[in-house]
Amino acid sequence: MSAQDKNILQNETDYIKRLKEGSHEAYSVLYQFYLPQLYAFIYNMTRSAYFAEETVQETFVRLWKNHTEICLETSFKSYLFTVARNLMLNEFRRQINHPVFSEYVEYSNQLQLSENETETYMNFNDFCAELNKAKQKLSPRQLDIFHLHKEKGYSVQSIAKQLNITEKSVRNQLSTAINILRKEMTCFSALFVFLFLYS
Amino acid sequence: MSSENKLDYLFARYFERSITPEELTELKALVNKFDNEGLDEYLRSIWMNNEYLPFHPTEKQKMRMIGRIEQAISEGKVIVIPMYRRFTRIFSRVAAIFILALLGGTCLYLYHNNQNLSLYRNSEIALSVGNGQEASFTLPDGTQVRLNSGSALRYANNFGENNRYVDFSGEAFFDVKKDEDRPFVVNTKHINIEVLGTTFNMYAYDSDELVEMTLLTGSVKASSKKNPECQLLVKPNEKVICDISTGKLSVEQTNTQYETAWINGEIVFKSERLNSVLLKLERKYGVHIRYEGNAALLDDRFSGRIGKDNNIGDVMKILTNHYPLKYKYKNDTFILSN
Repeated sequence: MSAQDKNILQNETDYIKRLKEGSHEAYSVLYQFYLPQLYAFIYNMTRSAYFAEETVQETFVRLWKNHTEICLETSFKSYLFTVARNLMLNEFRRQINHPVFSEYVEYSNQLQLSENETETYMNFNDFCAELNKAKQKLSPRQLDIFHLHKEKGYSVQSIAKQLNITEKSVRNQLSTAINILRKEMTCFSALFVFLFLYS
Repeated sequence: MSSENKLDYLFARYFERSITPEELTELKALVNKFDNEGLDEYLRSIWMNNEYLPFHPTEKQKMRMIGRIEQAISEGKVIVIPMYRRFTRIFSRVAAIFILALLGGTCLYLYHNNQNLSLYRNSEIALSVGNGQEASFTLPDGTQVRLNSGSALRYANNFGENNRYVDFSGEAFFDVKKDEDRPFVVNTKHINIEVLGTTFNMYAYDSDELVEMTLLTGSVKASSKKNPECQLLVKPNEKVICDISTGKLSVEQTNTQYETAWINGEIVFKSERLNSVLLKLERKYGVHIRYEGNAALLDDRFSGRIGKDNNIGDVMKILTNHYPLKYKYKNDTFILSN
């Protein structure tokens, strides 16, 4: 912790009091101090750089708009959590219920990237968007089979039965589909191999 | 292990990035079982005790966030017009137009007199139209705006003095008065539109995944918020679609009839997911629709045209004829079920 940060923590009560009275300067000292922590927390929770940025902004804007309601007796850090809570939990619920989120978490757990690469490689939203775009290159049949197998988790046997074709033809279609998608998604190739060829 | 202790453990593993797929499935089940209030203490304790989680923002991200925070808090006081859905349709329309006209008058008055009214200099005018309502409005520069249900438009009190800048969410048809010195800028959550003098339709609900702008006459510059390098010049009979997850913009040809059908009181659905059809009906008719049928059906694509003489009851009949669904009306809500 830098000397400046220590100084802020020691005088935190002062800054909070001044923020409550409407001091923009105190507000700016406080948000500069807490912004990186809050971002990291929301990022680690939702695994989305885009969403983490949006939520951090919204949280501090709400903090300013409601500055008169700040309670001096309770912890300021805890109050920040209260302001951000519903926003980030709603996003977290959306993410955790996504069909391929589990595979995505497994991948991001293992990935060791320098921090400035995270914007490109670690964003679940971007991955999903790219995948959806790449899917447009598949034939309707390939798309159906890919969807049933990888996103709904049906076995090759049960897909063959449902679509009334042979298991061999399901496997062929599936591997063609994966090859097409992999070619389309060069930027995410590492993740792609992990997600869809592991099984 | 009780489910409370289990949650503590699973969240800790999730944040340490050592959670296994099986544990993630358990976490998902528990997260879905508890509401936000119920999950509060587990996450709060992680937040209070972990100051050094990895992946702090880069300098670039930090500057971007701070810039946006400062921009958002420097915006002036907002006048909010509450609109009540329960009014009968005709009455609420008359009321909407009356209030808008009043505000428009106030705004014009202030525009001509604001040299001395420094108090109002930084304040804003906000117009909002509730669900089930529509309104037409003329901005101080002569630009005509027709707002569709559930839309909001905001602009500074000194609009037109140095610039013509509006914040917008929802759907509207703009007929922009030509002024080469002051470009007209529509600022939405995902894209910005800059024009000199044109007619165009803007579809940009904050809550919707579809964001698009359709140009009828003139020319327009569209730029993405998330992806500021992404800029496009648009010609008549083209529309720009913004992919909200990547911020990328793309252009499509259109005959513009589909996009502007709402102006004649029609709704046209072109291979649209049932889920989004219901959302649009809620907005258009100002009703609540609760869907209790088969969840898979919500992804089904629906096409059809609903004329201006059809009321919500007719639409429910069309839907229940088309799908294996029934509807009933209870407590101000249409309930669709198998």
